[in-house]
Amino acid sequence: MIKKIILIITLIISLITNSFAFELGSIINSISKFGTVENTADFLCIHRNDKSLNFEADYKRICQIVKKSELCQKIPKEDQLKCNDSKENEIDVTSLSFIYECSSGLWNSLKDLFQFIVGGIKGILGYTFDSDQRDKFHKAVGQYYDSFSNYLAIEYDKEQEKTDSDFKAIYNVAGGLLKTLMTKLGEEIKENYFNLGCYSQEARQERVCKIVGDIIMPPAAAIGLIFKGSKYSLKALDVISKKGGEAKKIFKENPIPLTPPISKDIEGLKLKNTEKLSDASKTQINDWLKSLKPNELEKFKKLQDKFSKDLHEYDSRNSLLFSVKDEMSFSQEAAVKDLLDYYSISVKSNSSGEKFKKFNNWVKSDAHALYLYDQMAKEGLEKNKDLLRYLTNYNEYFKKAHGLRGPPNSLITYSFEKESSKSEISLWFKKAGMSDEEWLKLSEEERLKLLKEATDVKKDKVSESKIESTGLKPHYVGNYSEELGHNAQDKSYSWEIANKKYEISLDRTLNQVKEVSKSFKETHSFHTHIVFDIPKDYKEFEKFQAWSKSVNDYLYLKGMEEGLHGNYLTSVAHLPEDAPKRINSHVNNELPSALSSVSETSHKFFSMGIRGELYGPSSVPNNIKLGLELRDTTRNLDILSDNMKTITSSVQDYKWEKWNNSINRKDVTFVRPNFDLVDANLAAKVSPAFLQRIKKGDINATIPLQKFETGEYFDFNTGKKFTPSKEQQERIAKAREYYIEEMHKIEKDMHRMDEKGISYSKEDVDDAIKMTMSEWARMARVSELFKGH
Amino acid sequence: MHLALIIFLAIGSVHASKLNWTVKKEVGKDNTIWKCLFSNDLRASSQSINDSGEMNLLKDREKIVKDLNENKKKGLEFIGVKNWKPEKTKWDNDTLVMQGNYRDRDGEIVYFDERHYFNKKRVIILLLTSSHKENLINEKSLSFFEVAKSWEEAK
Repeated sequence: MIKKIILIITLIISLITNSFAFELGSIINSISKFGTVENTADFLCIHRNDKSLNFEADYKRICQIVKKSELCQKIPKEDQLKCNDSKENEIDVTSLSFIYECSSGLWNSLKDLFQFIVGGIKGILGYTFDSDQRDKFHKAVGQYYDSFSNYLAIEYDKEQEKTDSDFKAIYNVAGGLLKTLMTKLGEEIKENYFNLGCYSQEARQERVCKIVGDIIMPPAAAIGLIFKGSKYSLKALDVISKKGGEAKKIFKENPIPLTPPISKDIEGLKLKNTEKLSDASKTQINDWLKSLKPNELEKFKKLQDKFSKDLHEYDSRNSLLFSVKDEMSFSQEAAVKDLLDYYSISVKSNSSGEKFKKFNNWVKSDAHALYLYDQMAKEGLEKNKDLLRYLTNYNEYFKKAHGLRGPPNSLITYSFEKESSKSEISLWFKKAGMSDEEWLKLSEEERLKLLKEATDVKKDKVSESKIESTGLKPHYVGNYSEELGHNAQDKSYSWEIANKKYEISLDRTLNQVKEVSKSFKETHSFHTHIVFDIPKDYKEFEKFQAWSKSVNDYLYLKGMEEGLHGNYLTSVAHLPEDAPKRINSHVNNELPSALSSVSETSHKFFSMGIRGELYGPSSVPNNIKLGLELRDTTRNLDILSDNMKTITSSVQDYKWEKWNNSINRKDVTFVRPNFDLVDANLAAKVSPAFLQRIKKGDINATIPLQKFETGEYFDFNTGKKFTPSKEQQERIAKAREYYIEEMHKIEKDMHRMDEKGISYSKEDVDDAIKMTMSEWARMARVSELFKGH
Repeated sequence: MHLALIIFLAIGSVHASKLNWTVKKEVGKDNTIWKCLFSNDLRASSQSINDSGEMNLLKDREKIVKDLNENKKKGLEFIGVKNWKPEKTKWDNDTLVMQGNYRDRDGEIVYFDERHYFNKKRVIILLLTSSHKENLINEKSLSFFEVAKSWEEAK
């Protein structure tokens, strides 16, 4: 007891005689309001929920509600509120216990802090020689320093004139700063330690002492608190000062148990999928969680399952987040920081405007943009329409995307598929369970054999439990699929790869196609998709049908000019009203008659297939997703790019709506192969036997016999009909004559070879006809009449 | 004759402004406190900061102003200066001009004229203050910017 009294007397003498004493009274008073019962009641919304309550008058009642709240249930019984007097609301800073337990320690800490501020100001004003202290001050103040040093100089100048003393001027300015700091500290405590009001007055003062002591030791952390918030302050305790332990020493030797209201860490929140994270990444997450204010934490708790899932996805090579990580191409810590930045936007933004701007800053690659769009689409584009509009206006990666007319606007998405049998695929995929090192030690043949053996799935994704990605696979490529042949007799092997997810950037998709093409040294067997939303009850589908026919005709003829010939999987698309009898009974050769009839496969076997279900449900209410699939229409990737860009532009503008309803489709020229053309054009030139042979063959061999030069065409760019120019008419007529003449020559060659006994197959004749078709296409250049789509 | 007159006037102007302001004290590494020779009401400080050179002034103008506003309010709160309000913010070529008022540590209203001169490697920040708004717009007061800029550039 005597020891205690001596200590208190010493303290009081110290207070009176020290030059710093003038500030202490108001500072200690401000501490009394740190962590009040009223703060906790506010946090629990007790006041606000019951407006009839008056805190002073109804203290006992409010206190009991606080005491019995879930928040206060973990408080040890001996530390619980007494609820007998409203004086219990604040800490009694004049009590002996406070002075004995707390003030002596706080005194030293505050003195240190004050000296540190003085040192900092001296540093700014040029009087300190303690560069270590000055640097710490600057580090804590950081970027804000430059914005106020002129003002500080002027405030100092005034004070210096008033006191006529450099020393007093600095101390006066520093005293003001200390007050500001303590006010801020009080706000931080109120924000972050909202359960302090669960404790009895005595129990609370111990805890307040410890919190204040911890935060203001080292002093640099206290300065950081003002400028960078509690996150910096807590971090500074560990990082900036080597004296981190001193705060504990000046208080009791035994640590005071502080029951956190909510355990703001991985363990407390039971965050899943953190096992594989490095210690540094775990610390990052814990630091971030600790920085969350109560309302922010509540928001995060609603997102934490998604956060855990995202942590898992970071390790999954087939996820969009893995691509984000890959784009950043540095450490796990950087990737985790990026993810935390993403969640900070959702959790910490105070307004939509702030949120939009932060998302704009967060999206720093195509992969970021794709991930964010995917998230927006999952939540619903109606809900996110303003954000999408903002990003497509301001973000450099979203600007590249192609928006559709709304409301709400959505983006056109893209993907590619590549089929091949090339063994280089074994660099990108491996048998599951093997390390990349083990896998790459095998010969290419062995690797391909193992890939083939790993599954017998036909035309389907192969489970990752059987085949998984190697680290060499580009991040945009998704799963491995295997095709064992198109029918039971076809025993050939081929694989198929595609994008991980539908991309929002056409340029990026086209670059991916080029990269994959280079990797396998092949330009064929690429299918590219353009996918967009369209209202389920879209009224202009007939116009879309006419436009689709025009695009298909263009692609088919253009491909023929290049030397490509359609087969039953990439055939001419026909308008429903004039489709010829099917060559292959199980493959539909008609364009869809209605939007509702578009399914996954039934209308896909054209140059530009039209597909629906494949793409999943639309993110826009009452819309469906419609896809246009360009199926191996060219071997020239630059032409593929041009075609994709043109079609994208048409889709954006719904260009088909330029079709005039007064036009009868029968009056417009489209590619309409018809066996009747054979008799009409070739009867005079070839034998009846050869005529029959052609009629039993590919109906598309009749295309060059169509009188394109006399037709009327529709230009979807101008919305008008047009006829071919005289030059085009002459060219097309001449090309048809050439084709007819060549048919005659083919038959003559056949006769000559028969006479000489030279054998030839049916396929040889078919090839000769195909070659002639290509020659016709190049001569006639009919494709240009369908270019206006 | 005409050209000579212009040159003469320019020199005369610089000369005259040097008679209005003088260096009172250099503080720290960056700051200079100025003494106004014709009024006790005017106070001024100048600062020169070496820039990393990465700032793209044309591109970042909006951001510069936004960051300055945010940082300044927080920084000034720390030193006890409240309600800092730039009522006018404009770019004059590569110079950012901010004019407005604040309450100093004693709660008195102070009017300010702050100018940031950006060049490739350095930012010069000049601050002129007065308790009377009209004192900031007379020619003698404004000569501070010319003198202090020359001073900081010569450092």
